[in-house]
Amino acid sequence: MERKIINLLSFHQSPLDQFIIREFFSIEGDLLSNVKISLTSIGLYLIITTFIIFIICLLATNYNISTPNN
Amino acid sequence: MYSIVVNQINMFKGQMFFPLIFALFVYILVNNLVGMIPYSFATTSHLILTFSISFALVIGATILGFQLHTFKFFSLFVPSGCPLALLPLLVLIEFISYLSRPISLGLRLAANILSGHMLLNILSGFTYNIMSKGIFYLFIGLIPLAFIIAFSGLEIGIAFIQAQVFVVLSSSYIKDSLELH
Repeated sequence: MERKIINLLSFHQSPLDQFIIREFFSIEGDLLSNVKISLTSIGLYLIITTFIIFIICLLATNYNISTPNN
Repeated sequence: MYSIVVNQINMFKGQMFFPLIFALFVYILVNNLVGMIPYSFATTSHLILTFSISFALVIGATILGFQLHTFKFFSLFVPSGCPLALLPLLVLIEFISYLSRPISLGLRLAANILSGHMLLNILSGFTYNIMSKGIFYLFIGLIPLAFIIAFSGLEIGIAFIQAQVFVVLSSSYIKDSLELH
């Protein structure tokens, strides 16, 4: 039982495992000339990064007064 | 802070590149820092991202150089004050070094982030194996754990330094095509 839990926890077999690009979900459009659109882990994190940058820019420029200022 | 770098590398004419350079810096820095969060994903460790940024930058700088001074742009390949006999060899060397610019720029960023993350992963797997052996080894395992924390502090420093290095090199490439040597 304990061994099984340890095996479950140590799923990082190789140090390169963290760089695998996994697909979360994908759309295969056979009608649209065999395109395949998928959301992968790198795509998700790039979207998160872009969102963070957008929020930082919005709060830093403070054009429509979203951050209290004196 | 960043207008200082841009001012040092470009002339007054280079002020128009400040938004590009600043956006590049913020993008790479936030990508590096998001990759530093545990159980998240390091996007800048992938060559596809860094190569797409660096190739776009260098090709854009080349187009800019051709647009500003059309065929005089090839004088970039001739170092100033070289003897005429050595000219074909030097032009070949300069051309190869110009071609290797985007590769080195993208590879530097990706290799730094990748090696740092792999180092942290190997160390943490090692520490996990030590600490899961018993209650006595749990306290021994605190020593490599301290190393891991120190290395992750170093990795945050590397995230800043690599973003700055990328920005400095890309602005120096833009400067090369703005004014030929």
